[in-house]
Amino acid sequence: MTFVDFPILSALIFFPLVSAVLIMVTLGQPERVALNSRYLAFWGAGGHALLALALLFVFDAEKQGYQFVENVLWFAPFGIRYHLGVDGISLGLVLLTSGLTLAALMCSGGLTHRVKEYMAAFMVLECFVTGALLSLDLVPFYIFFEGVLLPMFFIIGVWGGKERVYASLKFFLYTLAGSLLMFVALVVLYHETGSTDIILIERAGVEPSLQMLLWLAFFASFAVKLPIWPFHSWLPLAHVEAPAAGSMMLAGILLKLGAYGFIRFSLPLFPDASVYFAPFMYALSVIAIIYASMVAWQQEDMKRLIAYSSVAHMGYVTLGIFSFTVQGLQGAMMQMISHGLLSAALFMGIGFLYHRVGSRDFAVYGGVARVLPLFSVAMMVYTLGSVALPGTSGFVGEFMVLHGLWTAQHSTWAVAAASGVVLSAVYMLVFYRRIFFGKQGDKVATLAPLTWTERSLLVIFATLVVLLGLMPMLYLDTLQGSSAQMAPLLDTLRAKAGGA
Amino acid sequence: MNAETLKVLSVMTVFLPCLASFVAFAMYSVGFREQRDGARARHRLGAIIVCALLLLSAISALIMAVGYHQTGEVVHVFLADWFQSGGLQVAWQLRIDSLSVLMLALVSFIAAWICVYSLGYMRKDETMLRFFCYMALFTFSMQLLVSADNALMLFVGWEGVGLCSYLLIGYDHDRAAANNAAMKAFVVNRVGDFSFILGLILLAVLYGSLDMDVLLGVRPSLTFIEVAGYRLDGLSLACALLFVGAMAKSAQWGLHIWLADAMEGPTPVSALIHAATMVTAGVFMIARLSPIFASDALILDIMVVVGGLTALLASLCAAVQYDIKRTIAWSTCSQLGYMVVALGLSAWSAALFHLVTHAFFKALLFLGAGSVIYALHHQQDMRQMGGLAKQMPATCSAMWIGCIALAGLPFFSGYYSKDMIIELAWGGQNVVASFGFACLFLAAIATAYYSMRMMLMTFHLPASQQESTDIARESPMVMMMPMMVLALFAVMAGAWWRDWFVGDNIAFWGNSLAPHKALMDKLLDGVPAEWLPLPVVVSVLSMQVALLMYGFYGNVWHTLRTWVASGHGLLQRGWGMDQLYKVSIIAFVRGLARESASTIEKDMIDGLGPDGVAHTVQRFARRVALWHDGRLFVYAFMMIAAAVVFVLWRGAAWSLFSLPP
Repeated sequence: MTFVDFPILSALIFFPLVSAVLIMVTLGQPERVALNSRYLAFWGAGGHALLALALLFVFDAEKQGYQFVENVLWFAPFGIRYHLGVDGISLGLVLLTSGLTLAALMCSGGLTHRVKEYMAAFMVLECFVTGALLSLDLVPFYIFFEGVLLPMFFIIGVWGGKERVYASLKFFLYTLAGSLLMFVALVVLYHETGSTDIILIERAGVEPSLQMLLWLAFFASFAVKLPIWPFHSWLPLAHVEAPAAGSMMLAGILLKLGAYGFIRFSLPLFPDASVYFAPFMYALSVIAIIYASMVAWQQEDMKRLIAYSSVAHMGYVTLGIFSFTVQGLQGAMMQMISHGLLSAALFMGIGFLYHRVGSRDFAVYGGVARVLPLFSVAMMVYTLGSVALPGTSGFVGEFMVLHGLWTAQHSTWAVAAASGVVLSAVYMLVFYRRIFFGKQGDKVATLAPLTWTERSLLVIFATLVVLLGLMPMLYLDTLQGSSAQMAPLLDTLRAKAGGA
Repeated sequence: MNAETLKVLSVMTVFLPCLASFVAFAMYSVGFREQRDGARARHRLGAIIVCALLLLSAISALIMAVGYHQTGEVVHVFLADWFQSGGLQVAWQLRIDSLSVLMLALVSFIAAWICVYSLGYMRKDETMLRFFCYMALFTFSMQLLVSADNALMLFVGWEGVGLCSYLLIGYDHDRAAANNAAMKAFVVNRVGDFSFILGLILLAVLYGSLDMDVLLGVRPSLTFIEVAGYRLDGLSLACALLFVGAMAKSAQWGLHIWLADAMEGPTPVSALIHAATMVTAGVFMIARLSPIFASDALILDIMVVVGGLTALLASLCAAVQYDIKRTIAWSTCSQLGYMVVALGLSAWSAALFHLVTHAFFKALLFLGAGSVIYALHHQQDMRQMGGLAKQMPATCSAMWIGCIALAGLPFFSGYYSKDMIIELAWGGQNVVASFGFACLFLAAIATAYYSMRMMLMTFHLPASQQESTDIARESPMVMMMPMMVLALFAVMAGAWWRDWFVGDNIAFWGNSLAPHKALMDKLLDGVPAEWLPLPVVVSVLSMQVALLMYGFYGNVWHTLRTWVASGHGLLQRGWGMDQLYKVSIIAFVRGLARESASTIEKDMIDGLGPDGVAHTVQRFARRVALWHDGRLFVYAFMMIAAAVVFVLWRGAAWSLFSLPP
């Protein structure tokens, strides 16, 4: 086997799974098992990260199309193929998955309850997410995409807070309901085109009249996942009840799968329907930005606030995708990566506080800035990123999305969406102020100092946020090939939409 | 001086404060938890390092300013790429031209001296280094703003100064009032930014680039755009959007409400940020983009009106404040109105001239006020002061210099710059300019009045609280020195630099400003000579009025006060604008947000969505479950009924539609 033939994508997907299997078969004294499963999980996530870095290294950013393609017949009767490939759009998200899984594991140091199963769940999660990002056939994609629900269901349901059972059920059933429609659409697609391979389907094209229904079915699934207003109500609850590491994965990566679905499937497979429904998407996105921001402002629970802010931020992502411009698409990708870092970092920070104080209520806090300066500075950086202050990663994405939207002559939507500039400042500053400034809460004065793990995580996230803000080309460069490849499609879509 | 030297110097000027802020942060966080005496020494040392670095930055800026005359061209200092997307390419690049050289020198010079002053003022503060870290960061952001070579980088500085302003207003973050004021400042500024960023995007769409060279160069051929079905002139719209941004930053009427509250910050902050530099960013931005603004008569007229109103209304507010800092803050607001009027008259360099002189005398006034506040242990109410001239002669004379410059008495700096703008408005000779003139003229009267009033109440009236003012001592040398330096410039800046801004050397500006309309030259000899001293005369008269009211005829004042008691209250609350916003916009948005969070979120989205569906299904399932109660009869009945229905349906289908069975 030469270097080129090494199935790096399969390795990426199944390395964590192997680690999960190994974790499940560890036996012995409970403490030993806990320790060993921790080690194994780190091996799994670390290996995944190394492979992802290697992939980044050998990835040719300027080349169009999918790279490192693996394509074998898997289920012969239906011609379903095990078809993998990576391009700029999936690469960044795979890297994000790697990084956040590692960070989530590092944040779980204090866990004592069922460590073995917890670690295994995270490994399975990483495997499924990577699989969903790399699959180019709808059937494997669907399996991975749905599979993601299972480990997350357990992470919330077993290691969550007081209302974890309700939260996890709502999360599971809601997302499942959306996905089932996608499954039906998948069957129809196979029936119509005789294939489930997205490249083949795109080449064959789908009847425009059929596209509408199929688009809506896919929409149901992605809209719940993303989530798009008004399908978001599972999200705040799931976040509030999930353990910190779970929230990090949920906000950081799982939400991105919905947006990824729109880019990878809805746009190329159903171009006519995408154009037809674009105004509908604009409306929902803008409502999400304004509405979720206002709801976020009124929250008393820190995690709920950040959860709602995610809904608002995802509004920019969908706006960017459906602006049908390269800027908009790149902006949406940038916004996804940025939000992946920021929301994960914010949930992580809240986790540190919750771990020490045992409450997520703003009322308990206040004056933390006097006690934990490094923590306060790092959280300030994340807050500013969320506010999209220029110089942080949040700004570049938002600006590109708005610019793309206006370029496509949707200035009214751009103006409406830009109101997020004011609203995000309101809720994020309220968030920061109530925790860090003001009268010191009772338990705040005696907060335990940060551990070195926590410190380094805080610094790493803050550095990444600023670095991507100052030099976004580090990421945007990896999108070159994909953008060039998507450009003709986007131009056609824009022409169909009647824009310039 | 060659271009290479300029590059090195500009990078030093801009990035030394950045370095200073890093050093301060590092020294602040190291050993944070130690409560030893060492902490204080460490803070002091760190603060001195920051001051040294800022002074160094100021020196290089001054060398650059002096040496720049001989070059006179635009130098681009490329630092790095920022991003590119679609056709838009944005780089981190500094632009060195007349305008940025001037602003860099001004900002770094004043920042350095105010930091030196802060060494004394913040001496007793436990977390002094944090303060210096923010101050250095502010200076850095401000310098990015003034030297940016593309509009998006200008926005970076714009937001950076906003952030530092937020951090510094809320510096004392245990106090709710400070936090509220900080929030308010940031959010109101974000309202401006909302408009500003849309303006930038529109410029990017129209020009295809945000580089200054492009924006200041040829106008785009196609500027019509469609917004919500209306065809609009893109450039006018962009100007209007940018101007709203400037209104928030430069506290113009309507978006000015944050400035008076911003006085919650420590006094050196007020001097640097809310008087000399940040609040003038809006004026600077318009001057920087003057070639775009120059072409749009409507927006220029709006500027004159907004600026005139701001100048007048704010000066009246200043006349009734009791808090010494708020008096000066309202005064700043009013003076910014003067600058905006000058911009509206397309007298770009006159606006910059007032920006410069105002920076000196207003910073001086704030530092003087700080010196008083420091001496009185944080007493800011002028009614509790009085008679301080004896104990604090140096501060008193410095403040007098500031006040005279502000009131515009002859040969002090304000005389040159402020009267210039009033003359310009007079010479405008149309309705709008006349309106501007009337506002500015009345504002000048109020200015002289409140300056005098402030001096009297603070220094010359008999002390109302003898025991509390007895503690006052003159401030230490480290605070007096910066005041002396600024006082020198407050006196002389006008006379020294008049020619560069509005006189023979005006060619200095080259292409960095839009060409001034012939207006400037026309009016310099257009105003009849006998009218020229009018503003000075009325200012002096108005000072006499203040003297009368406070000095000799206390009764007059009391009678008057009962007359205008209601108006007085309204003025003190800044014309009740806060209240207006609170009961209108804020109440509305908050109500909407509450409704969203409770009714819509819980009852509609969840109630009709997943929870509603779940409940319906559950209820249905319970109903159905009632039948499954284990009685054989029911099951048998169901089976038979189903079979009958099926047979009937298939049969019907068979006969009606001849479907195959």
